[in-house]
Amino acid sequence: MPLAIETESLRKEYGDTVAVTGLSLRVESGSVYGFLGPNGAGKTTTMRMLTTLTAPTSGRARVAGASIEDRASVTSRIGFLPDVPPLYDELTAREQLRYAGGIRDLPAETIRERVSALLDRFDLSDDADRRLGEYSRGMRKRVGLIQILLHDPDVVFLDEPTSGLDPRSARTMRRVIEDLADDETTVFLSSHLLTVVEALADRVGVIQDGRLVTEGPLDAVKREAQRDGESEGLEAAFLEMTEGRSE
Amino acid sequence: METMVRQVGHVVRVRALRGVRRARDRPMVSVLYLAAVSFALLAVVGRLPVSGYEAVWSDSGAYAAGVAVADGRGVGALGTARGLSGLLAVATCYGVLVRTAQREDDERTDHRRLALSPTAFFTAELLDQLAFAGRLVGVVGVAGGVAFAAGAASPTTAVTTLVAVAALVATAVAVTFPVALGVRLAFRHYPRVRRHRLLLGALLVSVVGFAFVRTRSSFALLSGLPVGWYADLALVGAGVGASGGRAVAALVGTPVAWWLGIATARRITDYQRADAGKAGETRGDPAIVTRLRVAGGRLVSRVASRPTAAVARVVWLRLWREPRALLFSGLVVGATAGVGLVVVETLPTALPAVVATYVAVATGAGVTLDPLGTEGTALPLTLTAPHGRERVVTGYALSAAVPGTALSAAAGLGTALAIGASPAACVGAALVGSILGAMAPVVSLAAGLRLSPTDAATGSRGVGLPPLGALSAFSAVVALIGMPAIAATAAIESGSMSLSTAMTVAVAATALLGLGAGWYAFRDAVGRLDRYEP
Repeated sequence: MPLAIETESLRKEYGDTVAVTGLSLRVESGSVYGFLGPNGAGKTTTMRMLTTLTAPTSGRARVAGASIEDRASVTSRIGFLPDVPPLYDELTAREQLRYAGGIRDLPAETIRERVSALLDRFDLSDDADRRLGEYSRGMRKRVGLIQILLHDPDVVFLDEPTSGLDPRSARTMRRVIEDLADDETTVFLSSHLLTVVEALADRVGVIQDGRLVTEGPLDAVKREAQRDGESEGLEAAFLEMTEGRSE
Repeated sequence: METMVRQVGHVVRVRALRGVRRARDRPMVSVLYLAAVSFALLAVVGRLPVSGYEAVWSDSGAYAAGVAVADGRGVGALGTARGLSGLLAVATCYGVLVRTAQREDDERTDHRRLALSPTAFFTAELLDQLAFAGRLVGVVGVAGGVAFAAGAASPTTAVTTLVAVAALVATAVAVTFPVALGVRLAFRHYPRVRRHRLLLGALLVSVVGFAFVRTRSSFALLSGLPVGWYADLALVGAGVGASGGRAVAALVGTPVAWWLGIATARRITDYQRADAGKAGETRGDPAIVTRLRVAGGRLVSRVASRPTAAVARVVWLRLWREPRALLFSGLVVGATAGVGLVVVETLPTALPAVVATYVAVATGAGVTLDPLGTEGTALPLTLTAPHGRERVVTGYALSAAVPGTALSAAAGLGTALAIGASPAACVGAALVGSILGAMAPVVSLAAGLRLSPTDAATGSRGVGLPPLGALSAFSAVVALIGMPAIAATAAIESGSMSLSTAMTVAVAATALLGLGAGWYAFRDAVGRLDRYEP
């Protein structure tokens, strides 16, 4: 299987603080990778490095076949949805999505067609001409997701995509992630909601204090935790791996 | 009561700590504040009998007035002090009004309200405002009083001045705070008022700006108001004819003003809590705006790439719907209008150059002054688009330069025609205006990217207000580039240069300075955004 994400000894320092160190990951194309860790463990910093928002202090990484030093190549092949969707409150959803397509240099006709199709798919067509400032959190997340899918990226990075969503919106989001994986899009998923990761991920990595403490197929990680403890499931594995770290 | 005092003390302490840390995080802004206060201090204290001090400041001020009083030549000292009291009160009111009206926190959800009684909450608010005004206006007032007391060799006056300045600032804060809350309520409740904030803000700044530029007229007007009574309190023992009755009234007025201020603030926020009205709902844009936007979009699409044009179009759209950033365009013009007036009074034929400079400053003082803050939470979208960083810089610059070039050129030309300038002067004014209008947004971007508090950039969800440091630096650079045109006008007036030579020199110098500053600013802005890590 070709690799969608490959990192080698990735390290990021902020002054004297080491946010991430010695991070080596291999994520296969078309898979869903669950990236777990307590608050402040280095998940968001890792995502920022992989999406070129921040430069690593040392180490190497390739995303969708391009080195993260080649910002233009990486950004043309990825989509990134942060925890707070990057939207302009003053625009309507349709205007926002046209803008997102425009800054990626998509032809106007393609933007029109894709926006219309994705608004339908995400059940937002009726609200597409309302301003985003009036949208609920779930609706904003959906618009945020649409705008990173407009250019048909090879890899999408989702930071807490289901946090704060009501059950219906969360289920919609889960289905979309499943559809992405079915379409051979690689999904790098960071979430505190272990049930979401458990339901979707092929492989998981657990990061703590900036270091990857375990990594592998979901079942293997669960089995590893089961050997040491009595309980089953990803939650038990997560607690086992990150023991001693306060939330 | 004891609990309330403890709670209020705690809140004020935490607010002060936050203020200190914010100042530490934004040293440039602190330096600008320091520079403004230092200038005011020098102006109020005036010449001092210190060797070499005249090189720093030679005009007479409070110290000289004190000496004059001690020598029995103190006629008019009380009137001046009353005028100065008025001016200090105006500065306090303005600072508190702008600071409170701009605040983003919501009275209905402020967590402190759950822990504090309304009286404790508003007492803490007023003390916080008092600390804010005290370190700016209070310092100047106290320094003036102490200088006066030193000149008059009257220690009693030093003490009464301290009391008077504290009382004056406290009263001004207490009177203004509920007014500012009322303004916020009006903005929130009435969409029409909210939409015309630009006009209201510019009007306010113009009035305050003129008050400070025209000090003589301001003193005459303000010294007759009750706010002048605090000067009587300051100078009650100085033998300048201060009224004891007015001094007592000023002293008693302060606690009364605080009590009324807190009571009014409570009523306003009670009303606000019950008020469901909210401005800013979705409404269609007027047809003319849509047509202008489409035409502008076509124009930028011709001169820039699709992504850059998309950035410029969205900036316009957001500005139309949330014109808060334009408020500062009006504010900066209003604040410095007095200076422009003085230049024009001295040199009437410089009017076209002055107007063109002001229009260029206004068009550059909008969103381009804080691109990161204006992008806010949407910044990751732009930064993770291919070449997104460069496109943000060019898109923002274009969004202001397209209207800026046309408006500044038209303003320069129109004014030159209106005052009956020669054809050469008209062409010169149009050229200077177009250069300034094209270059100002680029300088503004560089100033904004250098002096914006980038740590707060991604927290905003709306069009941001430019930071004061960036605003001042940008205005100074544009004014500097506009200077050759004014200097050329002066040379024509004095006869030291012919019209055609002066115009050629003015346009060439403006172009040279503008292109140099623009080129450097663009490179600097692109480089900074390229290195920026949210």
